[in-house]
Amino acid sequence: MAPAQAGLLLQLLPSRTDSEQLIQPVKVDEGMLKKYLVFMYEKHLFSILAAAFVIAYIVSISGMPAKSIIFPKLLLYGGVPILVWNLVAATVEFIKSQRKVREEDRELDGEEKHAKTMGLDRPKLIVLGATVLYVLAIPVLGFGFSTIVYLVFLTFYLGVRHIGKIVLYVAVYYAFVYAVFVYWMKLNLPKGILF
Amino acid sequence: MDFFALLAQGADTLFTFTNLLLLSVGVCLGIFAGSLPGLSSSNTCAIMLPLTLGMSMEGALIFMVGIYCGAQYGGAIPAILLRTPGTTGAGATTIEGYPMSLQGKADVALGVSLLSSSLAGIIASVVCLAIIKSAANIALSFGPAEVFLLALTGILLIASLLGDSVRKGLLSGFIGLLLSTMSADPLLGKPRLNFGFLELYDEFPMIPALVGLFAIPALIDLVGKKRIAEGDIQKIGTIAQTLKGFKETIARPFNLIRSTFIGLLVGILPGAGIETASFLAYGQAKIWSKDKKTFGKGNIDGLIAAESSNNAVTAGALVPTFLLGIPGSATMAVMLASLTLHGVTPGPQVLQRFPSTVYALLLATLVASIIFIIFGFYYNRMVSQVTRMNLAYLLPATFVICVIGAYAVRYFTFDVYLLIIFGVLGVIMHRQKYPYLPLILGLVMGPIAEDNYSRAIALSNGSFKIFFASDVAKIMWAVILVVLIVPRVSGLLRKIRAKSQSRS
Repeated sequence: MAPAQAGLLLQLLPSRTDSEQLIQPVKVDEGMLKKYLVFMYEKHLFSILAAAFVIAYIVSISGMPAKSIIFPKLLLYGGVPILVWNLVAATVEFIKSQRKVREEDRELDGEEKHAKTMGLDRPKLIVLGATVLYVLAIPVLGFGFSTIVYLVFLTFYLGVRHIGKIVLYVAVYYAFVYAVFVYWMKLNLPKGILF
Repeated sequence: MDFFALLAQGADTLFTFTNLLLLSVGVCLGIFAGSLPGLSSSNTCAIMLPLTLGMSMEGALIFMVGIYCGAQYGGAIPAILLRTPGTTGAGATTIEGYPMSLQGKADVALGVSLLSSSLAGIIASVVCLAIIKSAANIALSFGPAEVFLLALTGILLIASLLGDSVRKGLLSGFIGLLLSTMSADPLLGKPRLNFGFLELYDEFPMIPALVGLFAIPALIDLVGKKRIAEGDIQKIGTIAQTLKGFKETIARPFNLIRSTFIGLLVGILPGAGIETASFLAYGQAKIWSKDKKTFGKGNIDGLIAAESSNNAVTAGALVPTFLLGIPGSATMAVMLASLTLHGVTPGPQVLQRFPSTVYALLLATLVASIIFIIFGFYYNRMVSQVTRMNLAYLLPATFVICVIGAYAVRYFTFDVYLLIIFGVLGVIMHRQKYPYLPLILGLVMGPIAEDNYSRAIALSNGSFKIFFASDVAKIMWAVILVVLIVPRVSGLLRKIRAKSQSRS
């Protein structure tokens, strides 16, 4: 191998500074564990959820006949190492981030609040929350009533203040939904206590 | 009977006033249905099936081909405008189409989509007509092991090419595949991880997951904005912008033709799925592109690849359906049901007994591709105005359509709950930069992969040699290795270059 190529390849190896940073022990205290959990929640919640799902999956298929789990077993053999790789990489990312954190003043309270809401601001959270409530209300109150209330609330919240416009919009839109899906496509939308 | 005689018979069958009218109505209906999330070509054909009883067999099948072709294009409309694929085949379209909408280029994106779909449909139909009998041999050379490897290649391609991190993409794909197995196993019918929900006994519902992962995060992101389009909204809805989209498509012939052939080949394979075609073609477009960094931000090559491949599938899917009696897709299964209702037993003998019908159907995909460009041109100009609308009206309406779309597939409220669960998951993945596409691909192609894997293992009595035996399988493995290794090597080379530049 030519010296230039060898030199270039050597550059890819972790530098002494990188290695020192990794090897240098991190002071583990209660605060560190909390920071780790916040970090994982903020940046790698999907990996945590994936791990929980895989564990539940493995428990549920244990004891099943071998023929039922031919493909799942193949997936788990290939996928569990990928999951572990992700979790380890996330932990290494956390350790590296702690080196940088020590040099900066960060508002922990603000950071924690940001983490709890996954970076979503208040309007987005309210719209998401309203949508969840709407979906939960459909089988109880009925599609029609729930949809009308949802449309009125969301239109008002998103900035339309003219009551006449809201009423007209809801009426026209609901008529469209009814005409296309109920009358033409013969779709039976869920009915609850109301309509 | 020679080729030209068969072609003439097919033309004779298709080019009657009634059949052309049925084809046109089918195309318009297909575009409209495809543009509504949750209404695909298969359920639209199924809804129309009773109405086709009064039609001739040829008329009924031509009508459904019109719906099928129209819906593949129609699915692109909400994918581009609202990041909500109207059909499962439009999944890859959202990746490039929606960013273009955000840039005020919805018309350009719709124009690209329309012409790509049309040209691909025309090219695929012509090729299929010429090689229909050889195409059947290609279909036969792909056994279950090869189709499994094809599904695996598609998922690995997307997982490794999209997003910043290969390991995140692979994790996402793995979870998608696991989710797809949350149903009764195909061999013994034992339920797996269904938490006692009967709704998960049959198969994991894809539409709620797809709509939830694609649409909900995008809609949440729009909260706080006035309208979708950020660019010059005065240009939206103009003929000039649509024609600009046409021009951009014509300027990229190699991508269009390559993606068309990918779609055609995948369409010929029974059960490979339109999604496989669109994502494979999209992945290929990125590999061949000199401008990889713009993928995911409104790259026209990616959009052309997605749309041309999913429309090319329609012609290819007719081959296994009518030559081998194996439906290439859910819509083809409905078409076979229509054959049965008209007293014809589906199977390889259909070509021998009704050659004029089979050739008429292939010609119908060609003519449909011309018809939808006319209808789609005007429809696009209307719907692109959506990007100028006040989001205070558009957002609630779109959420409700998503809910109806999720419910309409199986009439289960459970599916609506799944929509929200996947919506929240999509928000998490989007915020934490985990690519959601491999998860969707895993969900969609998981059943295809499992079904073919199980059959391959059964055929080989448990031996894995079947996955390495044929030439096609060896080519698939070579592609998989390239897909896994090339991104790592190119990443390594980029690091070397960056370090040597910083030294100098």
